[in-house]
Amino acid sequence: MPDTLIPPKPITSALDSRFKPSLYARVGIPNSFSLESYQAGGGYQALRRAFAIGNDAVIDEMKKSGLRGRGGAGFPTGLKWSFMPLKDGKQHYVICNADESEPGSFKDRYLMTEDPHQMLEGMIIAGFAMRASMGYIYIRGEYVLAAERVWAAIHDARVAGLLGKNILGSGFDFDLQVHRGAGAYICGEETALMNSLEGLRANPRLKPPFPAQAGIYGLPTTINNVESFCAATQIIRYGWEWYSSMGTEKSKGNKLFQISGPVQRPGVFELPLGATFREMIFDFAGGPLEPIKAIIPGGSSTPMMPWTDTVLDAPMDYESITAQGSMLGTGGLILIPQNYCIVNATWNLVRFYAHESCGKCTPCREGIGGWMVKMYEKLVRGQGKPGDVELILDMSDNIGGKSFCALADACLGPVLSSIKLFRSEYDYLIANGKSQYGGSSRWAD
Amino acid sequence: MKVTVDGRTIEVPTGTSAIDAVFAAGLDVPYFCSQPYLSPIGACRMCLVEAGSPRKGPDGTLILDEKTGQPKIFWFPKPQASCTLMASEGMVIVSQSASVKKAQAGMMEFTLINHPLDCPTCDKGGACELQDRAYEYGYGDSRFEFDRRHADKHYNLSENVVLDQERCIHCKRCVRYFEEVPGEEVLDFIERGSYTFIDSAEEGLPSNFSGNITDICPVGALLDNVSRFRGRNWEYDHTATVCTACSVGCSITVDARNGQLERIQGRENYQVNQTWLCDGGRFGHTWLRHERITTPMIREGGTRAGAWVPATWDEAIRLIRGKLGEISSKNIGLYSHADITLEEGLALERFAAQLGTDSVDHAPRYSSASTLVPPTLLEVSQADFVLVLGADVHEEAPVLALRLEEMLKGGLLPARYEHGTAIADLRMPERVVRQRHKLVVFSSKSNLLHGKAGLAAEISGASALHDLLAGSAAFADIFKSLEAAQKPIVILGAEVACLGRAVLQEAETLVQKYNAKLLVLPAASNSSGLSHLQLVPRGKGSSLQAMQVGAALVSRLEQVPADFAGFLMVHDTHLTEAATRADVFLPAVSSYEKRGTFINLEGRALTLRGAAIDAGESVDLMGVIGALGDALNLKPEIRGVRSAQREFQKRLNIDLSSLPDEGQIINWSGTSSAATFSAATSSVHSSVTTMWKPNMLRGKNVVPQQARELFVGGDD
Repeated sequence: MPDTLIPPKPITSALDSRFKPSLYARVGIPNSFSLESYQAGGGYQALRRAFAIGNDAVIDEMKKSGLRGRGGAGFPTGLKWSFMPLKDGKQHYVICNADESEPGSFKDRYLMTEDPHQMLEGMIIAGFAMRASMGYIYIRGEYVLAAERVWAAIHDARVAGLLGKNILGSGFDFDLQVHRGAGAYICGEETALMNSLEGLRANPRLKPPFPAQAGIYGLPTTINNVESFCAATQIIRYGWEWYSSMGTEKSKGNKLFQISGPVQRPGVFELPLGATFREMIFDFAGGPLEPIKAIIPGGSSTPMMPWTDTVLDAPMDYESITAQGSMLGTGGLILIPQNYCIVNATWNLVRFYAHESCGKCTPCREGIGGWMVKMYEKLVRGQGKPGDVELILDMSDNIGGKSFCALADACLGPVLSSIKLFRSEYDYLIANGKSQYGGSSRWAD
Repeated sequence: MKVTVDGRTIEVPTGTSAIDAVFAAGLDVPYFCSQPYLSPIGACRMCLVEAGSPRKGPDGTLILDEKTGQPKIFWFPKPQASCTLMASEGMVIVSQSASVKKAQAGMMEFTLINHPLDCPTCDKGGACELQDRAYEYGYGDSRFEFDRRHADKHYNLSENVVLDQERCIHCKRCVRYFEEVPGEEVLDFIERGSYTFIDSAEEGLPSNFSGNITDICPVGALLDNVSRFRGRNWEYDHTATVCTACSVGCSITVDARNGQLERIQGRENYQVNQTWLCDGGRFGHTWLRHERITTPMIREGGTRAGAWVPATWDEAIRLIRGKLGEISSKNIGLYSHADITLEEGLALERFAAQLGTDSVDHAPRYSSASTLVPPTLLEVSQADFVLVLGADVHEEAPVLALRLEEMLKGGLLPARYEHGTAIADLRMPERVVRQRHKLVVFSSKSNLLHGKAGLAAEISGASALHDLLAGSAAFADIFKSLEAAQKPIVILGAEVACLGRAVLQEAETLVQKYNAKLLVLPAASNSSGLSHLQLVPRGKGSSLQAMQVGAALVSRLEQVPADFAGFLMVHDTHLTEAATRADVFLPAVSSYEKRGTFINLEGRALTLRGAAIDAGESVDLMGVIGALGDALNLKPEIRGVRSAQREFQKRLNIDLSSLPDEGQIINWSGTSSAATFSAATSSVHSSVTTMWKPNMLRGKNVVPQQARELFVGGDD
């Protein structure tokens, strides 16, 4: 039987000899952010290939690659691109969501500081595919170095004729603009981001109309995460077959995973989807430094998972983690050590969401921002009463699924999962006025 | 489209939101952020319902439930905000289940945790949406045990509007209102999360329409400062009537307490003002209660030098009888302000005819009226090109400016259902881009409309009109727009309309050339109605400016010619400048106290109803005419609203006593109409425009300063 008829086993481990890092391949090379270095490594080959195969073929390849949005929601990127009304003759926009604010996520930061051209190339390809002539990069305000590197990269690309009029003689015009946010988590929500970009208050907009119909300035717009654009560059460069050879059945490709907390080597690691938590934590991050009781798998808004063999041996892909009751999110793992109070850790996250609530809708503004945070503060101070946990659960029921955008639900992720997994800690704290792990916490002010 | 709400299957038009479907089914759902005529935003999350829809399979047919064989309903996993949920064919909505009630009560608990609950001292109490909804849908108790948010309380946002940030429930109605209706963004949220509060970054509220936010605020956060603390909502007598401050004729509710006018609120009229009012119409009523005279007065010693002494009507009539007995009835002049009702106008017309006098007039008025049928306000909002010549719309007919703003937004009107105007019409988005090219404004002084127009210039409306007719090359773009437009409208303001027949003729030629409609902004509130009556002077010296008569009745006009030496009867609410020279003062009722009919600028008849205001012995013009009839031993033909309405039934074949609430456009053709008016005015010396009565905001005139200057110069 010829080899070609047997589909090769998909790559689901970074230890597989066939796996080659692509997104982070150039991080660490001296001057990796310069145009010379990027082009020396074969940069802007993908753009040339895109021009050669044509814009419809690019969208087609993106669909076939199975890439799902890397910002957290995991919506198929190719499908999103195909929603753009391609022949309406209007101005189209491409926006890069670089407002990476989710606690536990820090992959986009290094993609921008270390390899900005990879992202720019992906944006130009996206603009070419979706007939857009303008792109915006909305960078989180705190990412000063990233903004400077991206600005410099845009400048270099313009000088080299990779941005501007008639790029590489293709007849395609495209330009990019950087916008720095002013420090609001809600700006990572795509419609709030567009409002912020327009100079309005960063409140999420009503959907429909979806951005592909009426986005920024009321014109068709597509927003993708930094990593999604970088992945697009790699997909167009190496082809969808290569990309979809990695990952599991429904979660294709590779992804950047981040790990923080008490581990040997916290940081960003590139793994194929379907790699296990164990591979990530032990083989790449070098294992925990102290006993761990919970894992947050995909950034602070995803529910906590217990530190068990079942979880550790579960593949990290969209479906498996959902089946375990959590979400892949941005792939930002946070390890919570055994000897720290879970209520205190959750309070730290609730404080974040209360602080970042935009104030548009009642359940988030009053429920999270006005009440939930005070409940946790009360518990942590040892002033909790029996019934408080039930009250938190009932409040969560009144908030969950009823808010305008996902921010309130994001806050409920750690709240509900911590109560579900560590109810005894809550009860101990309420009964004794202090945590079984002592009163202090690494998250206290 | 069929939708099932709690087991009731109803037919609703495509595009209906789920909240309107629930109301259409005769059920109720609480809401705070939605507001008719504003875009839905889904911020308060009160209007939660359970909803599900059938789905189509890959083969294009509905997926059927295996057990029942009916289309399977795919339910949303959680209750949805019905204001932002579009109803679809076959959708099933549950608004009354226990889980929906729990969700709504939970949301109410959140809404109330930072609300101060100071209802006993809050002016909104008794008419508060939050109070009502909390009572109907809340737990009745709160589990919130922490300090409430504290913010700035009751400080003046402007002279007329007071803000209490603690009471605000962040529904965003006021913010959306300013952006969407007048197009003046003067309020916004500041800060975020639970610290979010409403405020203005500027001094005050620089808008002519700021009072409307006090009507739409669902709580007592934004309150009418003029009526603040002057009564509880259940103490007011509410009277549904029409504002006569300008010629738009907005529907209002006049609230009186203990016989005193305390508050005016907007009332819905889809055709005219939607629900909005201008600030002049809303707040400018306090003049009425200050130094009002409500008894007849005569002079001590019978000379003008004598001091005023209160008298009975009998004494006043006796005095008038004595004076008028010496004068021929043809030598008596009858002059009135042009905001009288149609019925009063008819009484005046018939009484003048009975006296045989030529000296009858109403002021302010232009010397000529157009005979063309004006566009309706809805047509203005639907127009695709509007040319404004010599008008300061924000001053002359303020709410018309809101219809122009609607026109710039594309003229989308909210749907109407049996339960009223759509609560949430999902076709209305936030922040619509204005189509400024649809509006061109020329007037000699820049006004608020200039900033909204695609093309605007400070040139006189009359000269622009002249050049437009001459086909000036400078206006090539305008000609192109006029030709391309399907529904163009030309609006003439006071600056042009006061110039007389020749200029009006030019405007009529222009609109006929482009198949446009012509809207001439009337000089006073009921000018368009009175222009169809014989209320213009017919001989030399009979006009109000000349006033060469032996005796004159002057009703609610501020001035009389300086050289007038005859017997002067002044009918007014206050001791005006004219009254200081009068021989007898007869107390007048205000427009808030009258019953009758009013014709607005589109020719729509609207019903005035008298509010429960204590006006003492004051009478309307018909009452004064009755008194004059007594004095002259004449029986006036028209002695009351009913006899006047009987006469109009004959003339117009319309029953003015039972007009629909939205009013009715009157067809004047076949009556002695504006043609007569024009013929009569050809011999008239000039208009009587020096007789401006300051409008309800004392010291601030309805007609702009530049027009006033023109009027003072006269148009002869």
